[in-house]
This record gives sequence, C-alpha cells and structure tokens, in this order.
Amino acid sequence: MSKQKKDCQKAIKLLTQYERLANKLNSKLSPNRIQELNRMHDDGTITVNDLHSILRREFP
Amino acid sequence: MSAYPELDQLGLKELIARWHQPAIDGEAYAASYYQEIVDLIRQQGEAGVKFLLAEVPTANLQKLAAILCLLPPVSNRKLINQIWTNFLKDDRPEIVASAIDGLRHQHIWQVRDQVFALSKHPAPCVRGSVLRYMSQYDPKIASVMLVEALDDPDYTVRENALDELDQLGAVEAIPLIRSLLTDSHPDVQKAAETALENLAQLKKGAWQRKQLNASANLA
Repeated sequence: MSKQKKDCQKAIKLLTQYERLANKLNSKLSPNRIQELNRMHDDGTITVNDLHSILRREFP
Repeated sequence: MSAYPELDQLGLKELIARWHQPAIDGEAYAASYYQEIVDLIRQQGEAGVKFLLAEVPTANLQKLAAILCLLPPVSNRKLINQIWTNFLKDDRPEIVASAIDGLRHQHIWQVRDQVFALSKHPAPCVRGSVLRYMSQYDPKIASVMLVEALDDPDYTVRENALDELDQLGAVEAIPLIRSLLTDSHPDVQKAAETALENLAQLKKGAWQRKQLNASANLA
C-alpha cells in the first residue's frame, strides 16, 4: 500500500466530508459555519486551514 | 482563514478572555468552539500550554474535553501521561473519549491495555475513540476489533470502524464493508461508500504494480 496514496485519500475525505467527520469527533459545527465551508468547497478554494482544529489535527 | 475567522488574529490575552465567555454560536456548538480556542491558545507557546494545564482542575465538561483532546502533543510527555491516564477512569464518557484522543495525539502507547479495556464501554463515543487509538497503535490488533465493530448497535461506532478500515487499507474487509452501504444511518452509508472507493483504488494500484513487475521480469 502506498502511504502517499493513503494520505491523499485521507486529505480528500477531510476536505469534502468535514461535516460528517466533525460530528463523529464530537465537534458539531453551527449551520453558518457549515454553510461557509460548503461555499469554499463548491468554489474549489477550501484548504486545510479552513477546517476545524479537530480535523486539522487529523490531516496527513 | 480558519473555521472561526473572528479568532484568527487574537493574541493570548484576548483568547483567554474568549475562553471565559460563552460560546459564540450558542451552547449547542460549545464543544467545537472551545476546541478551536484550545488549539489557538496552545499555538501561543509555553504560556498558552501553561494556562490550559492550569485550567484542567476547574474546567467544565466542554472545556475540559477540549483541553484533553487538543492540547497534546506537548513537550512534557510525562505530565500528559500522568494527568490524561487518570481521566480514563472518569465517569463522564466525553471526558474519557477526549482523554483517549489526547493520548493518541501524544503517541502515548504504554497505556494501551487500559485503553483496550474500554472497548466495551457503554458509551459509543468512548468505543469510537478506542477504535481510533488502537488503529493508530497496532493495525493488526485493530483490524480484528474494527471488523467486529461493524456490527455495533451505535452508528457512530460503525462509522468510526469504517473510516479506520479505510485508513488501514484493509482491502480484505471489502465484502463486509459493502454490506453497510444500506445501513440505516446516512453517515455510515457515506463512510462505507468512501471506504469502498478508496480500497478499490488501492487494490487496483497493487494489481497494476504486480503486472508491471511481472512484465519487467519477463523483459
């Protein structure tokens, strides 16, 4: 298994499924925060720095 | 920009003031708010870490959980080991789960037996954090636990198990994971769908490498 491949998959998961993953880690974000993340996701401008700290900590 | 842009430019003094104020998005979102503040305070260096450690004895549930989860890793591993391990016996599930996540972030593996003993804890959040810890500590032991957890009655535990099997690249679990595509909870369905996509890519990559090696050997 390629570690680089796995890291890429994890990064993509964090940058696309932030709401589900934050909830799973007991870190529910308000609808406004989610809306803003969705906007950045849809614009294609979202980066690791935009994520909540609990997800940044999991970033590869 | 972070998830809380209004906190981005604040110094230690201002962050501490925010720590003592109610959560800005309301009590329902207090956990994520205080987690973000903990992360920003620890980034302020030794003074920030010192402040957060001093808060441990008196912090309320949300704030203590945030410190336990997001203060580590710090340079004083011994201190984290001592304090955090004590919280494994706490009667509040959120505190136990956060302590396990903190120990994982600090890479403290010598308490693995104590963590493993919590794998049948009545609270789903604790069982989920045990899966994350064991998965990072020992993929071989964890893969057995993760497969068992796919049948857990709580959806968050099944979801954690799927994400960890995905992370471990457990291609042998593909048939079991497939059965969760029709799970009763949408988050489990999504985790299963993503795990299957990722594991299929890994399997395909491994097969292609094998074919390339075989071709190279023939040539």
